[in-house]
This record gives sequence, C-alpha cells and structure tokens, in this order.
Amino acid sequence: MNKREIGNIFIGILSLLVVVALYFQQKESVNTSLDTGVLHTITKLKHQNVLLNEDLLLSRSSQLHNFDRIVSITQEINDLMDSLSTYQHVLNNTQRSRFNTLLKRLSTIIDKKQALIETYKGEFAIYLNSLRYLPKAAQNIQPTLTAKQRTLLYDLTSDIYIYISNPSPQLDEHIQNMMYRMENTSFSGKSDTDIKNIVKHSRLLIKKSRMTSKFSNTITALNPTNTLDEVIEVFRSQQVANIKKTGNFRLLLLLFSCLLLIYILFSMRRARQSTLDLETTAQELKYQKLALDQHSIVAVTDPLGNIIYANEKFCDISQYTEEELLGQNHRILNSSQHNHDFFKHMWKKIMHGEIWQGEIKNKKKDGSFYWVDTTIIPSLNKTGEVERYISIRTDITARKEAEFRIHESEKRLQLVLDTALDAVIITNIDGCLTYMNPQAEQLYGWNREELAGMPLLDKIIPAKHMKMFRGSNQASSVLDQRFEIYSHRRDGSEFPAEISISMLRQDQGIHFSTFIRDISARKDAEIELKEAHDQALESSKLKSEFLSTVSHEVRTPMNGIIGMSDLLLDTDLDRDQREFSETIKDSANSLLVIINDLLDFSKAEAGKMEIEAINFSLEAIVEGSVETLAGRCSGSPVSLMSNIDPQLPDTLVGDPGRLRQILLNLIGNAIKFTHEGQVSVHANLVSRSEKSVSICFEVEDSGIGMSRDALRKIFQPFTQADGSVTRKYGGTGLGLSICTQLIDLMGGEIQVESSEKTGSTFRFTLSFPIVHQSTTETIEVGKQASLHILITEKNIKASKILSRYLQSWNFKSEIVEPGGSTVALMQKRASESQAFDLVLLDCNDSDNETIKTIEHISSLPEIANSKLLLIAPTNAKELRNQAASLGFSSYLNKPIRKSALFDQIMGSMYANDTNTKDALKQQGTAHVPHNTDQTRLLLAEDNVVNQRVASLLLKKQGYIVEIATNGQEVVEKSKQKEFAAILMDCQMPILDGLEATKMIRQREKDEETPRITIIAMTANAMEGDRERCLEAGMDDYVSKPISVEKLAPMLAKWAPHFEGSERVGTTNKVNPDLADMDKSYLLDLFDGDEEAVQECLTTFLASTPTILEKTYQAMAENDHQHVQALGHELKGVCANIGAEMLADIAAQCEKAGKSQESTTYATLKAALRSSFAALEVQRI
Amino acid sequence: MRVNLYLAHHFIVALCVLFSIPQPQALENINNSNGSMITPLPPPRSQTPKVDLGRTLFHDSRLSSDNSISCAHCHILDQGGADSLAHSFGVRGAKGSINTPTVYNSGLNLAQFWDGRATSLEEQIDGPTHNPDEMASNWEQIIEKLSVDELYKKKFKHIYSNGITSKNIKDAIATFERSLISTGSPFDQFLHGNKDALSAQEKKGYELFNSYGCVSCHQGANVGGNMFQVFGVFGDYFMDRGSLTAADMGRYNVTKLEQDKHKFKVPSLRLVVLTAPYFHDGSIATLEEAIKIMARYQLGRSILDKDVEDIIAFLQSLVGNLQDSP
Repeated sequence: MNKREIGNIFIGILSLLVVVALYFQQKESVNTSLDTGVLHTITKLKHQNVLLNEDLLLSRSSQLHNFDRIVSITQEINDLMDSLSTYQHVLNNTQRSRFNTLLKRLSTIIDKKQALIETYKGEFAIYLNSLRYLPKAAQNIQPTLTAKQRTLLYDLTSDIYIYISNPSPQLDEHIQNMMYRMENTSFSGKSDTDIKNIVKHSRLLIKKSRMTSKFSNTITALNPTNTLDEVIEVFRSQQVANIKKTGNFRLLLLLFSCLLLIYILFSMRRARQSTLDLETTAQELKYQKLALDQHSIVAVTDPLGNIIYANEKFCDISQYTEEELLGQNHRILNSSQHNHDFFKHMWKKIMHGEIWQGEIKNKKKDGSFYWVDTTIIPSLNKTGEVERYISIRTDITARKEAEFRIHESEKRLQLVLDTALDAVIITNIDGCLTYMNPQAEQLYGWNREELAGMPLLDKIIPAKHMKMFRGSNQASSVLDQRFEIYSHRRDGSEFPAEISISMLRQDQGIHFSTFIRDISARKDAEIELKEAHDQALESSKLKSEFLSTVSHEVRTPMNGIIGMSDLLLDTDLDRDQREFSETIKDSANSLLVIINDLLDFSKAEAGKMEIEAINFSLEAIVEGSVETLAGRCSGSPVSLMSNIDPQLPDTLVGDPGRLRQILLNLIGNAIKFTHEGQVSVHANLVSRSEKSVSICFEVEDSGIGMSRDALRKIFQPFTQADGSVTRKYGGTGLGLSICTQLIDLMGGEIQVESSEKTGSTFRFTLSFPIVHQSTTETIEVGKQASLHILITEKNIKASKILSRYLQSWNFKSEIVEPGGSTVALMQKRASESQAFDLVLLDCNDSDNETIKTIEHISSLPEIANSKLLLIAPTNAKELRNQAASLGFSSYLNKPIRKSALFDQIMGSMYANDTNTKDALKQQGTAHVPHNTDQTRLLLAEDNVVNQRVASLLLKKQGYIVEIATNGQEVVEKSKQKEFAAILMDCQMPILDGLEATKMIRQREKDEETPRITIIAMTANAMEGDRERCLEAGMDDYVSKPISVEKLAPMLAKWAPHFEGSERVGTTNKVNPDLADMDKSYLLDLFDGDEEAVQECLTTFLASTPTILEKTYQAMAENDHQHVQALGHELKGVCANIGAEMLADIAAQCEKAGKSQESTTYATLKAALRSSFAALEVQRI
Repeated sequence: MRVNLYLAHHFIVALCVLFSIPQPQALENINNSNGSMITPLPPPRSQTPKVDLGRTLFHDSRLSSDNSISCAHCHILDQGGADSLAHSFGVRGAKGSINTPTVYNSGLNLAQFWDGRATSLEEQIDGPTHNPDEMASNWEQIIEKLSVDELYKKKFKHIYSNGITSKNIKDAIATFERSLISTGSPFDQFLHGNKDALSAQEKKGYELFNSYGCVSCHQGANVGGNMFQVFGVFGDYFMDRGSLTAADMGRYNVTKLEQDKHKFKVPSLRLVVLTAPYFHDGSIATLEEAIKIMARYQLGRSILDKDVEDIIAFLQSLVGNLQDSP
C-alpha cells in the first residue's frame, strides 16, 4: 500500500465519520423535538383548556370559590403558547409558515376566549352579588310589608329563581310584568325604596343570568384542540421528513461503508499482488541476464577501457580466451577500419554518462574482421562519475555482408534500369515519383530531380486521357497488363505509349513501376494495316453484293432464254434446229443451276442464309428428292433408290427446303459421277429421344470415286476433285460448299468416304424435333394382312430395301433373282402351300425377261393366283403397255416410294380390277382421280390481275374456271359444286388459303365426301412454303408467277382431261412487233393472244393505282405491316403481267416493310410512281 | 340525543343554582377556608440570587434617565408597596396620571396596571421605565449604565449566560417582585384554622364582607386582582364624579371594546388599609368613603356606618408581613 492509498483510505474513513455524525445529528433532532417538547406542551395546553372549561362550569354553578384558578390557568396557557412558539426553529420553511399560521389562529382563539372569560368573570360577580343579596333583601324588608306585598315579593323571588334554573319566555314575561307593576306601585315609606331596589337587583339578576349563561356557552365552544392537533400534525410531518432524511443518511452511510470496505480489500489485494509481481520481476531479471549472456556479447570495462568482464560469447567471437581478455584494453579489438573521429565521438558521449549505440567493425585474434551492433551503457556512481562501461553487442557480420550483397545487387538492377531502352518510372502509392530512368528523362524531357516526390500523373498524361485512370478506381483494372495510352512530354507534344504498370509490394509500402514505350511508329503501322484490312473487307463485301446482284439479274434473262427455247421446241423444227434449240435449253438450264448456286453461296457467305423450323415429312423429302432426279438416270444403267429407316418418325420439325437442297445436290453429284451401278440414299436412325431424333443421311454411289488428295479439297468453293473433272463433268464446284454450309447451319457436319473407282459415300447427321402423330395406320393394316410376298430384284441393295420395308409392315417376304428361278420358287412355295400372295417384279424397259416371266406365271394355274406388281422406271412406256395387256393389276414407279409401295400392295390385293385397269391406263401414280367433272376448276385468287392471268391460262388449257376471291368463298363454293381441283392462293382476305384448306379437309372428313385436289399458288417462293401448304392439307404447290410450264404438268397430274390435254393454239406466234418487254411477256403468257393481253393490261392499269395509293398511305403512316402486305400483292400482280421493273420495286417495298426500314420509303415511293407512270405511257 | 344532553345540562345548571343559593346555615361555616372565596396567600418562593439581583435593581435609580428614581421610589416596600400619593411623581418631579398600586402580591394579579395593559410583571416594567412622566429612560440607556457596574456584570453573568440584557433585567426584577408576598396575616391564620386569630369585630367584618357581596369581586388569595369589573354597576360613578379623563375609560383603552368602558382591574385588598388614597384616580382618601362608594355603585345598596367599621376591621386583618427596605 502506498501513501496515496493510505491517504485515500483516510479520506474514506473521514467521510464515513462525517456521514455518521450527520446521521446522529439528524436522528437526535428527530427524537427530541417532537416527543418531549412540542407534544408535551400541546398536551398541557389541551389539558389547561379542559381545566379552564371545567373551572368555568364550576364557577357557573358556584362550585368555584374564586377565580384564582382561572387566572393561573390563563397564565399557564399564555406561558405554554410562548414556549410553543419557540419550537418553530425545528421546522423547515414550509412547515414553519404553516405552523405560524396555526399559531396565529391558536392565539386568536385563546385571546378571544380569555377576553370572554374576563368579561364573564365580571358579569358573574355582579350576578352572584345580586343572587346572594336578593333573598337577604327580601327577608330584611319582609317585616315592613303587608301580607299582600309579602306574597308579591315572595312570588317575584321564587319566580326569579325558577327562571334562573329553567328560563322560559313566559316566565320572563311574567317576571317582567311583576317587576313593572312593583316599580309602578308606590309602597309605603321606607319599604318603597327597598322594594324598588329589590326590583333593580331582580332585573340585573335576570339580565346577568342570561349573559353569564351565554358567555359560558360561547367560551366552552371556543376550543383550540383541533388547531392544536393540526400543530401536532405539522410536527409529525416534519418528523416524518426528518426520519426520511435520516434514512437517506443511513443509506449513504451504508454505501460509504461498503465502498470503503471494497477499497480496502482492493488495496490489500493490490499490495499482495505487488509483492508477488516484485518476486516475479526479480526472477525475470535473473532469467533475462542469463538470456542476455546467451544472446549477446557482453563486456564490462573500467573507465579507462580495460576489460573487467567478458562473457562466453565475447570470447567466442573475438577468439580470445577470457584470461587473455581480462585486464586488456578494449583497443585490442580495434580493426582500424573506423576513423579517429568515430571513437572520439563515442568516448565523448559515454564519458558524459550517455548511452552510445553504433555499429563497429572489430578485429578477431586471427586478424579477420567482424561487425557488431554495440550499445555502451556507462554505469555511474552516486556522485555521477563513470564507474564502468557495460557494452552489449550483437554479431551483425552476416547482416553486414548481406547488406553489401544487396547493395551490389541494387547497383546492378539500377544499371539495368538506367540502361533500359524503355522508360521506367516508379511512383509511390500516392502517385509521386520516386524514380525515373534516363530513358524516361529523355522521353519526357523532365529530369529526375525536378519531379522527385511530385505527383506524376498530371505531368505525363494529358487531361483528356486521364479518364481511364480516374474512372477505374480499382487499381487491378490497369495493373499487370499492357495498355495503350496517350502521353505527353514536357513540351506538350503527345505520343501514343504502351504502358504496363506493376505493383511492387515492399516492406516500405506499395510502389508502382511503370514501363513506358513510345509506340508512335507501331501505331502508324497499325493504322495503315487497319485501313488496308477495312478496304479488303469492303471490297469483299462489294464482291458478294455484286455477285448477288449479278446472279439475280442474270436469272431474269435466263428465264427468257429457257422459256423461249421451250417455245421454240414446240414449233416445227428440222432436226438440226431442234438439236440446236435443245442445246440452248440445256445450256441455259445448266447456267441457271450455276447461278442459283452462286446466289446461295453468296448468301451463305454473307451469313444471310436462314434455317426454318416447320413440320415436314421426312419420307416426302427424301423420296421426293430421289424422284426428282430419277429422270436423270433414266436410260442409264444406274439404279436410283431411297431407303428410309422404318423406325424413323415421319413428321419432323426442320427446314425441308434446305434439306431437299442438300439431298438434291448430293444425289445430283452422285448421279453425275456414276456411270453404272446404283446411287442409293439412306436415312438411318442414329438415336432417338422423347423429343428429338438424330438421323444419319447417306448418299452412296458406285461412281468414279475420289483420290485422297481430292477429298481434302472438295468442300472448298469453286473446287472440284481436280481440273479434269471440271472439264469432263462441268459444274461450278459450289454445290458441296453450299451443302457444307447448310449442314453446318442445321447443326451437323458433312463427311465423305471415297476410294477411286469404287465410289463415294457422303454422310451427315442431323437432329430434328419430332412431331408426335398417331401411329400410322399402315402398320395396323399390314398386321391384319399378313401377306407373303416374293421380291424379284436384280439389284441386291434394292431388294434388301424392299424386304426391309415389307418387314416393317409385318409382311413376310423372300427374295429371288429375276428369271426362271422366280417361277421355280413360286411353284415350290405353292406346293408347300405357302403360295405367295404377291410378287414384286422388277423390270427394265429393254428387258424382255420380265414379260416372259409374267407370261410364264400366268400360264401356270397353281401360281397364277398370285398377284403381280410391276416395278418399272417411269419412262418404260412400252413395258407398261405390255404389262397392262397381260392384265397386271398395277405397277410401281422407280425409284420406289415407301408409301406408294404400301398403297400399291394394298391396292393390288384388295382393289377391284376395273379400277386398277383405269389407273394403269392413266398415269403411273397410285392416286385415283375422283369421279368428277374433270374440266371444272375453282380459282381462289383475290387480286384481279392474277385472277385474269390465271383464268386465261387455265381456259387456254381447256378448263372451266370459277373464281373465288377469298377463302370463305372457296369453302362455300367447294361445298356447293364439285370441282376437279382448287387452285388456291395462300394469301387472301377474310380467310387465307391455308385456313380454307384446313376447313375443307375437316368438312370432307366429317361428311365423308371425296377428297378434292387443292393446289397451292403462292408468290412466297420461299423455303418451307411448300411444306406449309402440304401440311395444311393441300396436294401440290405452284409458285408464282404462274406459267404454262408450271401449270400444265400439275393439272395433268391432278385434274387431267385428255380431250384438252393437247394444247390448242400453241402455234400462235409471238408478235415480233411488240418490242415492249411487258407485253411480250404477256403475249408469251397468252400464247400471243393480243386480245387477252390487252384485257389483262387494262385491268392491271385500272386496279393498280388503288394499291399504289394504299401503299403510299401506309408508308406515310409508317405502317410497316401494310407496306409489306401491299408490296407483296403488287409484286405478284406485276410479275403476272410481266411488269418486271415495278415488280422489283414492289419486292423492295415488301422487304423494306418487313425489316421496317422506313428510311427507304421516300425513295421507294418515288420509284413506284415513276415506274407506274412509265407503264401507263407504254400502254398509250 | 344531542337535545337530551342539552336539556340535561340545563337541568343540572338549574339544580346547581338552587343549591348554591347561600343559606343561613351555610354562612355559619364561613370561617372554614374550604368554603371561603378568599384563600390564604401562598408562601413566596425561596430567596434566590435572582431575587437578590432583582431587589438590587428594584432599588437602583439608574433605571431612570436622570438616576433620580428607582422602582422602590414609588413602591415603598415598608409602606405597603406603594406611595401615599394620589398620583406619584416621576423624574424632574413629573406627576403621573394614576395612583400607584402596591407591588406586594402583584405577582398574583391577572394583569398589571389598572387597565391590565401589561399581562405580566416583566411587561409592566417597560411601562414606568419608559414613561416620560415616570423614569423616562430606555433599555439601551439602562443597560449602558448598568454595564459600567462590575458587580452587576458579575451578578448577571452568574445568573444569565448572556449577561446584562433588557430581558434579563426585567426577569430579575419580576422575580423579585413575585417574592413580595405579604403572608402571615391574621386572617390567613384564621383561614388556616386559628379561630382566635381574629377578633369578634374582624369576624363580623368578614361576615359582612361576604354578605354585602364585596367578596363577589374581591376574592381569591389576593382578595381581588383576579378579574376586571365595571366601575358603576348600579349608577354612573363617573357622571356623578364629573370631569372624565382618559384613564377613566379603563380597560377600554387596551381592548377598545364597548363593554370594557370604565372597566378596571379589581384591586387587591390585602394591603388596602396601607395604600390610601383609593381608586384608580386616587380620588378617595379614606376607606370608609371608598367602601360606601363601592356599596352604592357596585353592590347597589346602602351600607350602615357600623358595618363599614366592621369591614375595615376585617380588612385590617388582611395585612401580612412586609419586607423591610434594604
């Protein structure tokens, strides 16, 4: 416990005592003030008041002999009041004022009472006097009175006494009367005076009796007791307050005691802790000395520098033994490496008793040096003189060496930086310069000293480029990467710089090193390069555009050439002329293909190829493609076949047009390079999931094949296997390239396998989403049928495909080589009572063997029951006729369509013979025309011009045409009448073609009426249109503009009428005078029928302005949708009458409307106006 | 209930009145102090230093402005505690307005002065000391003069912690005055049971004093001094006398109450025979005359000369021991 604590405790005790004293003082005041003093006084006062009242009553009844007692009581009361007033000092201010008020009231009461008593005393004395005197006076005068007088006197006195004891008004009146009478009666002699005197006393007696009685009542009623109680209450309150105060003091006392106790306990604990700490410290010191000896080199010298103590470490490092060192001067270790001033300074300091610290290089015994970090502590005696020096040293030799090495290394690095070709700048975290190398100085024109410690960024980065630093508050965004920036030199000139900033984390803090390279030269080069590149891109783009334009432009004249050569071939030509014409037509067709390819290619190049996603039939696409190209194989020994995996779902979602294009291309190629053998197209299932199917398409040929080198090149544009191929086979070499791009777009990849002379296989795999449809009824039917079928087929591949198809319908099949073995097998199976229900006979036009076989079969009764189905190329007319004459039930066109195969099999097995014959007689299709008026057609077309063109063309073909202007009408009319076919425009008001078709089909289904043929006519010559139409339930599809070539085969196929099939008036020549292109087109269209042309033109010129006006309005209102629709309509109309220019502009309008390019509207509008005006002029 | 109590109270009062009517038989026993309206004087308190100091002060003329008059100057102790003048003389021969009452037995009075304006002896002292016609001094002056006196200082210091103050002076004098009791009178001895202490005439006088009704007011140990009474119960004394003075208004001067007009403190008759002249105005020189006036104006009757003599004899028996002058 130190002095302060003791002091604190003392103060604590003192304050405790003060509180105790205060407490007792308070307690005392409470105890004495009320109990003994005030209460006693007040009690006495009350008592005296009672005594006073008592004495008063006693005096009233003459029990009190004199008023001495009353006097002394009065005095006593006055004394008590005086003493009561002295107690006010014990009260606080509030209570005191209350007390004083009460005291005043009390005094008033007492004073009043005393005053009344005084009055009473006086009155009573008089009353008493008369009371005593009256009987005596009466007795005295009695002898002198007459008897009457005596009685009267007696009555008066007795009445008075009665009145005194029991006063009543009647008595009073009576007495007053008596007295009055006595006063007014004169008595004889002396008695008169006496009687008058008696009456006087009587009056007084009665008066005073009343008064004393009144006074005594009033006095008794004056009672100070309540007021006294209130006084007591005042003191009570004061006492309660005092007690409370004392209570507070007691609490304070307790609090003080507790605090003091706690403090004492705390102090004691601290004292004990201090003792413990001291012991621990002593122990610690001991350890520390030990530790110091262990760690440091310690030596003690006398004031002269002679060593008097050296620890073990000292000996170790200096290599001297302790004995050698003791007594020696410390100079023994002097390395002579420090100059004289160094030690002079040291001695000066330590001799003055100051601690010296420094690094000293010392010499060992063997002469080598070592560094020590030394602290010399002078130890002073009491007089302040140096007694000894204690030196503590640490060996820092290693550090010193390291420092030296670091220094060297730094110097080296500095040299690197100084000689670097790039400018190097180092800044601290605030962006102030800490270093810049000479290159930087040179680059910027600043030198290091000028900028040292200054913010650098402003100096070298132009304000306008600061954004990238300011904007990116995350340092990481610019750190550790090269970026380019504009920097400026001292003279303000800017230059592009490549900068890389790295963060250097060091103990001293974070720095940034910046490498800066002037890249002006590189920048210039880059700009040049970019310009060159842009130019190249631009020219490439221009090239594509040019290509596209050219292709498009070329197509139109090509159509003319082809059309013309067609027409030419229809005329009477001699052999040479015909040959030339055919050559022209072929060449033109080839050219058209090439141009189409080019167009596609340029589209693909420009990335403008779009892939659709619509429902389509896989079978239709694959088999259709094959069928399309079947003609090319006719007459060649190449058989073309398609094979669709029966496991594949038929309806898929994808781009049928593009798929068809790919297949046509590949198949076309295959046919081109195959001279014999077969070309087969396969569609195989790869994998199938709930939602999609993956299909591998293969086009396999047995053609010339390709070399390994050639394989590498074939997918590049404009490339064929080699130059010789081009010469021999022709072609642009774009086909495969386009296929590759298309497949790529559809998410697949094309592959090719090929070996020279054996053939090639092109393969690609595509995935399509599946459209779930009800299971095809074919399988159900097949199951029920369970037919046994024989396949006679030379080509093993083809027979396998057939067998697979049949199997998929649950038909049992066997394969046999054509020829005699067929009959043999049939006979054998018949004998085994497993006779074939049906025989599929493959045959060739030139092949008589088949006919023989047929005849043979017919001649044998046991197998003649088997139905025969002939499989023949489309052009094998002779064979077909022969077969019909032999009674063939039906035949199949090669290449075989799967659905056709099924239909034919079922037809052969179950159809009646007559129908079959009819079918055979007609064209080689499975479709049997309905029994309707074959010449009536319904033309659904909303545009007047189109109506005219189409109806004229159809009429020329010998048809009766009815016109419907919208879908609703179509539905109505088709219901009322029967038509051979409906030619349906797709886009019509009210109800479009697709919807109308759907409704008609639904109606047919509901009413079980025959299916009417519906052929779509659409200007939307877009991919997928065909499929969309077919899906809606249409049977075929013609793209606008319609032409004789397009319509004729279509009608022949769907609505044949043999009478009119031979064209009438085809000999009409084109009027050579009509140089105008529009008219020539129309004349061509109407086979030179000038009248029809004029009619057509008139209609056109009359109706078109309305459309144009509508278009202008839509353009003005930016109604893109209408612009598109109107453009489309106009395009169709113009194309139909051959107004190519206007059609072209209309097409552009449609396009602009679709892409919402309103900016071009003004130009287009002007173009439409001028173009139409030109037409009108022409017409005049 | 309350009505019943009220009636009962009145009934009791009436009975009391009836019983209290003095009967001839009751008068026989009047010598017995138990039934007497006059009681013996109480013995004075024992002599104390305070009484001694008071006595010294009582006789000290330094209490007056010109050191000419002391208390004892007018209250001559061996002459019945008063002077024999109708009006006393003050400093420089100033004449007072009233007759000097006796200082003896004054402690037994209910108040001092004729009009009772001083409720205590202490208070009374302020009167003569400050009255310009009497001692014409003030306490500052008195204390200053007394403080010169070492003996006083010593004595005061001995008795009072705060030495010479007006309060202490008054206390000492009053204490002394209370010790002035004229005990040992023949009548007191008679009241104490000594039948022979009174002569027959004195006994007769006592009897007459009672029967005439004098005792109605002159009662108690001091035979008076314990009440105020109107001068002129029967008849108007002042009108009869003429020349009304302010002092004639009596207690009215103190209380200003109408009923207190001409009301005076009933004087003690203990030393009445020694303190002529009589009444507040000192207008009556002889007892005979005074008694006759009293009977006429106060008792409303005439009195026989023989009876007056007897009463005077009785009054003489009231005189007790007087203290000697120092």
